Amino acid sequence: MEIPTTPDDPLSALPDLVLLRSIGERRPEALRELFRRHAPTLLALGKRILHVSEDAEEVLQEVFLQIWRGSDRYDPGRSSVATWLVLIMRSRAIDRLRNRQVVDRAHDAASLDAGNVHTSPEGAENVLLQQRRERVRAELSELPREQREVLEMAFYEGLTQSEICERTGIPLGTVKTRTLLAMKKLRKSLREDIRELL
Amino acid sequence: MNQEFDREDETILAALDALAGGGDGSKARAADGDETLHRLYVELLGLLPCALEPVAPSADLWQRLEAQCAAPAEGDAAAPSEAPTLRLVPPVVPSDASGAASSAAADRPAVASLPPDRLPTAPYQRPPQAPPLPASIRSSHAASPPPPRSRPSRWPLALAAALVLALAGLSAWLYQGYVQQQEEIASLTENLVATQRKLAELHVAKTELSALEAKFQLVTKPTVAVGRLAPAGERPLQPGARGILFVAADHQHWFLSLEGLAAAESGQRYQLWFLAPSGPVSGGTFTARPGEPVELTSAQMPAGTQGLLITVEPETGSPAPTGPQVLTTVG
Repeated sequence: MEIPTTPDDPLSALPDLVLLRSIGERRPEALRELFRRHAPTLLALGKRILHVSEDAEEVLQEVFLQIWRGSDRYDPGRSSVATWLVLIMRSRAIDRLRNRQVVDRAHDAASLDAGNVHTSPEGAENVLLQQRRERVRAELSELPREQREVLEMAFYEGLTQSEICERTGIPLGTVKTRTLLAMKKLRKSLREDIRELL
Repeated sequence: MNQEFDREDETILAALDALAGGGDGSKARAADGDETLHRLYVELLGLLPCALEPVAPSADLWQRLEAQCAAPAEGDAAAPSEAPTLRLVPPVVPSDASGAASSAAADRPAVASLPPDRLPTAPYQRPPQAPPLPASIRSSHAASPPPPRSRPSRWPLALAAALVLALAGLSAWLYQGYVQQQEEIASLTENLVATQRKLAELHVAKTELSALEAKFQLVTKPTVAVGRLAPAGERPLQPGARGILFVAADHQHWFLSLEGLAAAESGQRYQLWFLAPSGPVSGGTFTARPGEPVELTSAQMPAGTQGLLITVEPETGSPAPTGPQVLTTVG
């Protein structure tokens, strides 16, 4: 996806990769632009994992601080910048979930927090990103429930296939088959979105 | 359960396994070197959070982050002005102790290490000194050469000195090797970083070139549909503004070039709208600088888009057009 080019605000026209390089050159405005682009999705991810907005914001802050101090760790050959950010956020959030034992707290807070979702201003988000969100949502909802569940347990809870097997009581082979089917279906149906990230 | 997985299955499971430990997947590699397939699945995993409803960060989060970024990292903390030095601490003596007492104490045997039952009960007395020799004896003793005495062999001393020298030489040689290795590592690291930067620059250049090629192909294709944008309304807000829109035959790829737009006022931005059958759909906000063109492009357009509209909206954008219309497609 390309962002509109604006001579007045040149950073908004730059690809994530260039922003990351600028961050390496200690340009805070580049970090701000990267934050503006990705923070709403990353925060949603953090909240999905931790269930507590405050914890998710803390993790988000840590992630961007880590990027500010170590943007050179990004390897363009391994993933897009957007995916790299998602995977770092996910990793840190799962670490927080495990280390601080917030699970119980999360259950308590989830009901309090449920009605307090601050959605991103619609107009500020590019329509193309909105369309991508809708496509991913639609494709995930098209998956059979059992396939979607194993995929979400692996991604949002950081469980191995064996741990999913233990938790659900489903045979390991079945867990793997369901995961593989889900991933292959999504790869086919979202191939255009994946291609744009490459 | 015995189950056979093909190459793609193994790649998927490797990508998931890499994530399972809470890792960021960056270290994962396809077992059989199928990097492309592995990359596709890593990107797919990166897409999953798109399904979540985005959450706007709280208003002060950026300020907190900015402040943290401005603060020096722990490793960057300023070194103390004076390097810590090891100092010999004199033994503590009672304030009323005299110098003589302390010097006498130095002459005493180490009683503190003795068991209590072996501690001396009587006050310590200096052993009686021999009376001084008569002057005649002293002078004759000084004048005569020292009597011959048996001297220990110098071999052990020489051997020890040689060993010390050899050890010193070996240490110096090892240290020099270590320093050279460190220098080589530093040099290689520098080269690696420079190469990575070059690769990133190359990647950027390729991306920009691809974008330019895409624009060029779009606007030069005979099947491209061309539309014009003109000032909206009977009394145009910006009569000198105009634009040209190129839409590819697939009705997805488009390129919009705008000219003559004035800079939006403070706190405002231009917002692009696709006029779809369901109503205006936001295409994002942008700014303009007088005298310079604005170019917008994308590979997607809402289905059934009939035209474009550009309005002036608050800086954060609006869910639907609310501000004055500046440009709209004509014809």
